[in-house]
Amino acid sequence: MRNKELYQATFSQVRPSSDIRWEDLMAKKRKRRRRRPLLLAAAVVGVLAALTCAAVAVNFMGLGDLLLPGRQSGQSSPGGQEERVLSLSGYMDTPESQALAEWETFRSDYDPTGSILAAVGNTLDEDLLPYTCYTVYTDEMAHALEDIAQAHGLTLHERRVSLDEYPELWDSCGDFWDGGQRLGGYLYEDGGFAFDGEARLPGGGTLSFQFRRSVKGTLNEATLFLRDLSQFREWVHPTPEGAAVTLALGPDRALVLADLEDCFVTLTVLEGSAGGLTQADLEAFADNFRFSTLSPVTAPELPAPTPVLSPAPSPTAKTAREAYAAVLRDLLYRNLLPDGAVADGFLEDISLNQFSVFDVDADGSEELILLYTTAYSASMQGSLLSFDPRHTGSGNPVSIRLLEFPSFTFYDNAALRVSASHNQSWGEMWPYTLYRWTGQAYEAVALVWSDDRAVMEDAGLGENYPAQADTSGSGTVYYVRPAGEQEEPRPMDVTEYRAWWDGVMGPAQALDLPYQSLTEENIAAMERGG
Amino acid sequence: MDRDGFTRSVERYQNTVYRLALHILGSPQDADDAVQEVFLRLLGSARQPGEGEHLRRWLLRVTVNYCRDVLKSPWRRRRIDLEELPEQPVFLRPEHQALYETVMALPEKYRTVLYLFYYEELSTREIARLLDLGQSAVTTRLSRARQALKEQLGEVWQDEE
Repeated sequence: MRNKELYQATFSQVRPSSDIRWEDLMAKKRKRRRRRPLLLAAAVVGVLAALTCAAVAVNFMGLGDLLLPGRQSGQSSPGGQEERVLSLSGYMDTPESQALAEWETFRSDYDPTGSILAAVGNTLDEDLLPYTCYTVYTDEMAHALEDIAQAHGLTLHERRVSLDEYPELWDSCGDFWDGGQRLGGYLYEDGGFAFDGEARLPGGGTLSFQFRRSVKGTLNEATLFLRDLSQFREWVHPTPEGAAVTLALGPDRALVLADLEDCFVTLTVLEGSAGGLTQADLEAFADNFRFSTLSPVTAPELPAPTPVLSPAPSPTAKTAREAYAAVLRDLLYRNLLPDGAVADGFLEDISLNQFSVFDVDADGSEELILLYTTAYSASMQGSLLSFDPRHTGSGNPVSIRLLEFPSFTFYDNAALRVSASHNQSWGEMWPYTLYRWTGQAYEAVALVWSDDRAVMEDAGLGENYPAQADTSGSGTVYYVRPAGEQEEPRPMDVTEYRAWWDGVMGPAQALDLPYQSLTEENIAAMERGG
Repeated sequence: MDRDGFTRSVERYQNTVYRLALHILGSPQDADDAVQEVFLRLLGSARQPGEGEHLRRWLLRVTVNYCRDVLKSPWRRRRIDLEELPEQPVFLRPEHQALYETVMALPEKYRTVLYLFYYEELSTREIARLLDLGQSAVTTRLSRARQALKEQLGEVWQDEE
């Protein structure tokens, strides 16, 4: 046997220990791509780099000059490299970056464990409404932010509006790009704006990216977390219309930086060389933007703010329904979800979201179920909230029992079945997670999905259907993965699956909860006991 | 990439990715992780590399890049000696067992070129391009790797030069 045959005969016997499953990878992909709100920080935790030695030598401004002064984490990411914090407001010697560094330092020192935020919860004092463009949730934070901005001669954002809600305002951003699709975005009162986009590549395919124009003279709370310097390459690229932009290409991310007269533009491409992105691709992407139209910035005329129709929610609500009404109004009027996150959805008709007040665990007290669905799947949220009648003090009497994808089925034994956001199985049955109520918390029991013979045959995968497990010949096998286990479960016949279900659930029946649209009228009626 | 296309790609190339990752990383566990990561990148790639030979080359490139990142990472778990690994493959034929153990005991730079040359049947020029090396460096590594195999395996490994 020749060496090549020997080598191939030997290593052909070596195989991975488990097969790749589409649904597993899709779940991982969704998890990685979960977007954070653009409002608080254009933070992208990715694999990026800092400046190369070569870049320093020629002294052009690049990623290394965006490092936030005094705010380097010194912590390593799971990938191993030290994470770097970059400003998306301008280079490190600018007042915008200096002020941002001070503000970030204050924030991390002020509430390092998040305990203050947890105590404040959903309650936002009306005095703090002018600071909704920043992570400000106490008077102390507001004062600190004002002081820092003043010390650096900067102004603070007063408000922003959704470009989904007011698409006509795109015109005020200028005719800067028509190379693809603009997704969700926001426009600030000073002309700064940010949006997610999908760019068309000349050779086909698309690139996802995040765009931000930060206007100089304003303090922007916008940072980018990067790591892995060694893999990064930077160069200056002249665009066809004459702008000199800095391009940076890393394994998983790429950036386009443009330091214009009165604004700083950052484009973060959510792709890199490891995904096939080339220097030519990045240059072609940058060439699609007309940077000359992005400066000088003209402040837009924003529509009049929507009046706050409800009083600030009271942290000392005396009844569950009062407290629940406050939570619902947070979403209705302040765009805040029960966990404090900003609802970064489509901002279509918010009344399409639903709520119900119902005693789902039969303990004699009502819980609030809020289904936030006017968003991309990754941002949809179902919340199950409870009220503590013995609560005293200034904290929030409403606590979160469960946050999940908003597709709930409650049962009369207090169990909860949550359907998955996507069905990536080969079964018609929608995959679900089953939870049981321990009396203290909702505890996941198992993740369940199925394969149908017919579906697999339609897909040309009939030979992969585990027919040997389908002993009753029903055409469907089931998989039950107990919580905490990672092993691939074996397929079950329908009889075994039903026995498992009966063992866990007994004769439990599904509850028919009375859901209502999220409107002030419905909230007020609920609050009154209706 | 749709589910069918992805499944075809996995069925056809997951062993290729695994074997290359095993040669670079020297650890079956790390190679398993690499397979997951590389196909995750395929799934998330903005520019789908198509199918067939183009896809194979793309996967080889991404696997090399990913594995290099892993090797550079201080978080990578400590390399475990081969004898300590319970799930090493067991070969029926002793010459296969001997070749496997000998290859895996070589330094990474020799293992990788051996695999790409003998298993994937890439030319030294193609290997050089894939690994960002000069062709002479690949030739040198290949020569030294063959020499090491000859010394360790004796008659099992034939003279080629």
